[in-house]
Amino acid sequence: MRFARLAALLTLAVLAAAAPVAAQDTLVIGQGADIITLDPTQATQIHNLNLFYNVFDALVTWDPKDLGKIVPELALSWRSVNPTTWQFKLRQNVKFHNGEPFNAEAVKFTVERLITKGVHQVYGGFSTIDHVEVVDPYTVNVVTTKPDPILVKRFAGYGGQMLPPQYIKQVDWKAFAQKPVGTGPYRFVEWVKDDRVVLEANPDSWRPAPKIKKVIWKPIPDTFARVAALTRGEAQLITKVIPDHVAQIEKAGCCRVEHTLTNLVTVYLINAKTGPLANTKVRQALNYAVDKDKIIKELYSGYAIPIGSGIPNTDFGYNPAIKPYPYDPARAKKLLAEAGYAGGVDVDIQSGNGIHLNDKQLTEAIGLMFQAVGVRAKVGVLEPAQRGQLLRSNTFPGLLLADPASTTYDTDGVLWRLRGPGGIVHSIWPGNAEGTRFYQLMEEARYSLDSAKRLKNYHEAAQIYHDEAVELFLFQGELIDAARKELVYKARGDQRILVYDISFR
Amino acid sequence: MVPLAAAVVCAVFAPQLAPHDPLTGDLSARLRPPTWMDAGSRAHPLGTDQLGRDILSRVIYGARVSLLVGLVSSLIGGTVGVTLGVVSGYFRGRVDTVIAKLIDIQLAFPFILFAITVIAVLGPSLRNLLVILAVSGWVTYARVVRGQTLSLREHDFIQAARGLGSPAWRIVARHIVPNVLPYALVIMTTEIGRLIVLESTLSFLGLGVPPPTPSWGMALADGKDYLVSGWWLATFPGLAIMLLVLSMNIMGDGARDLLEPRLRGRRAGAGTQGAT
Amino acid sequence: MREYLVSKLAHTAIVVLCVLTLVFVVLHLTGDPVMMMLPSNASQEEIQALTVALGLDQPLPVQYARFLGRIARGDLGVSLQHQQSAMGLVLERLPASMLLALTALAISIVIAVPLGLVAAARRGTAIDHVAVGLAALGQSAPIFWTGLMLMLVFAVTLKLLPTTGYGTWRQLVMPALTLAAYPTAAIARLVRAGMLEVLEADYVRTARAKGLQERRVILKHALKNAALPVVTLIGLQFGLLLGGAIVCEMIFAWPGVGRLLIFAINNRDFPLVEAAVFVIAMVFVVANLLVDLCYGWLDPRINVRS
Repeated sequence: MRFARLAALLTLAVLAAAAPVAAQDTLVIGQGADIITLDPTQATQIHNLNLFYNVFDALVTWDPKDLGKIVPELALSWRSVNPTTWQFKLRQNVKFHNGEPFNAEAVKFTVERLITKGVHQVYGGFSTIDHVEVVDPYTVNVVTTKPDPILVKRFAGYGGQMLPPQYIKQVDWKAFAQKPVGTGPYRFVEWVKDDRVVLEANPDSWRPAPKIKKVIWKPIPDTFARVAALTRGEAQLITKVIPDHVAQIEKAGCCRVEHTLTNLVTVYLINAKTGPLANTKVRQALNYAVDKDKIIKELYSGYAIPIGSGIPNTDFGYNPAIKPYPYDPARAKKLLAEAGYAGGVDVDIQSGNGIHLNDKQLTEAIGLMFQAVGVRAKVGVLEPAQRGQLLRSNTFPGLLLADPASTTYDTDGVLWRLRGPGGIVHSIWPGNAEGTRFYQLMEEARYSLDSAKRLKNYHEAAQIYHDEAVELFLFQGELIDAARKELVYKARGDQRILVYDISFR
Repeated sequence: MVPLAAAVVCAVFAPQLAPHDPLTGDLSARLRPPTWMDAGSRAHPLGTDQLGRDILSRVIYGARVSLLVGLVSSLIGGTVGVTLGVVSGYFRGRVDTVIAKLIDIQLAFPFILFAITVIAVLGPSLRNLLVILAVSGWVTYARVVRGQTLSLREHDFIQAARGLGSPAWRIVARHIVPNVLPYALVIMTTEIGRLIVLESTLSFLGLGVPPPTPSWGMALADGKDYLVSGWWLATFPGLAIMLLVLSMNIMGDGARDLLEPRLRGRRAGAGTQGAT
Repeated sequence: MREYLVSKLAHTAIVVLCVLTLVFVVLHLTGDPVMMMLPSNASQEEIQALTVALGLDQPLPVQYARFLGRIARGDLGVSLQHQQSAMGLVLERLPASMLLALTALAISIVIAVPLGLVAAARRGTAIDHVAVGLAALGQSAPIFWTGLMLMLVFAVTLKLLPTTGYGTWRQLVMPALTLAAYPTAAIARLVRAGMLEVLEADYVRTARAKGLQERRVILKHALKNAALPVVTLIGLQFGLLLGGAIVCEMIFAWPGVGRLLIFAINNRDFPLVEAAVFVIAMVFVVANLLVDLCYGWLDPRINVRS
């Protein structure tokens, strides 16, 4: 009997001692999903991109203190040689993780891959490029088909990571996607699917040695489990924290929440081709019917700012004079009556469930607000593939939640990329079709190198966008991460997690 | 018995019983705890949910969906299952082989894929959910009933009826079906509970009843993020589910215990071709 | 026996083929994987190029024929999202899923069988009521609920176990317990019911009358005969555990086949779904085959061919 009790005590002791404590130079990051590839041209979701930003470098990147402004990374300087040619001077003495040198040949190889259609996912961001010329081992010319004012910025967005030509010729793209090689501050160690990706500091990096020597990225799909892992110390940093967990995390004592404004805008796209939603007054009424401040306060812990037009305040072309639609249910009802729907109108409002932060709750809440002004809202929760389908084919029946962002911190990226020719929602609003003023303004700005003219165009276009209530404008959101108190970490507005900048106290 | 009765009463008299409209809520009053806690209020005895809706009202109205899901789906599943099971067991041969294959195909096919497909093709709705759940359960009935039918058809009185030239359908309808029905009913009691729980799992996966219809399963799924900060969201619907399933299970076990002596007389002492 | 095995194998092959065909039809009905592979700013051109590259522009019968041809060669294709062998991806995850399923099954048998036996032997007493109550509990909580509660209690509050992940035995405890809840309840109830039935049967009464010890009576005669339906159920549960562990895997970040299947379905990654379903179906039919063989061993009277 005594033996049994002793055994039980020992077992408990062993179990209790189980809580893992990471060494102070190893960081475990908990994300919401596993990555699907380590080839930077094959994925565009932030949890996957974060790996690329650590393993690879790009020619240029965003200034962490002033996002939207370009600073050098692998390119030390650049200038416009002629309206369609940009020349980059490259950083010297940089090696890839396999030892091969980074030089103009690597840039040429990378860009030629980027402009090859049909083999990867990031073509769209670089489609204006025509070809690349190697001037000398550390100078390269990128030539575009038409003048492209944001060409340099494109290389800071996704897909801009520089690839190793010799390595890829040796092992081929498929193997590269499993065992990547880049010039970044961290090199790849292993990837156990659905369990972890391990990176370690690159000893031959052109940067000074980082504080964190090893970083482990773990996919933990469930939101509650992710927070639990953080509070237990199994992960020191987690992403995609829902606002309702903020209080819980702060109360736990071990951890805190890191949040910051991003360049993502949360809106409901409106299919304005036919039906009641084709009527501007109806769309305006919907905008007046939503109490954005209350939603931000209650559902997002205050971590967002309302917007008046579909453009975040971080992007070039943002017009601060455009104010958000105020909450005015009386006005909403009046507008509906004027449009002929005094007796009510049926509107579909849809979103995914867990695709965007609080999407289901947000849709339900807005549905309730619509009901209050006489709009019979039919709430729909879609599964991911279905949502993708409806979005792509532009056949969603009413409103669909989306969070567009510009990868180039430019109005072109957040508006015209979506609504311009070939854009994913090109055909849901007649107002952006060829021949309209909106189209004219946006196309001109896309190909003009005159900053002042671009600004003027975007201001006017944004005003039209607002007045026509093209979308249900909600807010520009913040990202919410959470970290242990001993971790020195600041969330970035571009959502990037650069382990190089992180350390333990 | 009591939880079932209570659930039925709730379902039928929901509009009279519920203190508030289960569909509307005030965002400023979201996540309020139940009355007996500090920040609670009289107006919401069981607290409010993440959209400010009254939980007590949603639990009362939620009985409708849960009972509908449990009863209707298991009735449909049961009918299909019993029919196929009897046909398979009585006629044997080719029919039996085909149905046996159908059963195995159904079992080997991942249920989640089936559920997602139905929702994707036919759209999310309560009706489609009932179809999905019905399909998930027919196999259990079919297998058990088939076993029973196989053994029943060897009995003297059946042989006699066949010898007398009775048409097959009449033998099946008058002699086989009434004898297998009790077993089907026992299965049904468990099935009702299982389906109600399955509704919750489907809600967790995003395939449940579309909002804003109140449902215990959906409330449980929605409440999973609030285990620490808002335990009342999931606890009360969860308790409701648990009590209902418990009572259904006990009823089922009791019914089965009752059946045994009654049916043993009919069987020729083979003893073990029991319910599977 | 050989004849039986051959016919069983034929049956199995037909079942698996039908399942795969069904999956093929269902997937193609419901969505377009190209939509899920390209970012939102992809142009119509790009979409078209990728569709052709993947062979998805061919009419369905052609795609199906190609699909059958590939299966015949044992090639289940390349995952659209991962650009790797679909079968390879599934097989990578299989050990984790098997570990979880087998552990859960073992736990449930170890708990459920004695529980059911005792409840039947002591029918109507407190133990019986407790057992029935526990069984109801196991069956009345959805898996995600059980999992999260266990995590909350043992990992977060008591700090005894790690919250999530794979690799140490401590990380296996909660997922396995969670997954075992329903099978334990189902098996316990069945064992109890089967035993009750058998305990009253003639030959048992005879044995009792002959004066054999109660326990020997139960264990030797009754158990062997009550085992049949239980063994069937166990086989059934095992198959279900493999594909049904999805929720458990998601909650505990367990790298199994279930999570992969959900990912594949959500992205309409046809080859990956096919490969995952194929593996799950195969495990299921093999488990059932073993059960059928057990059948024959347990009770030679049963006509194994029916």
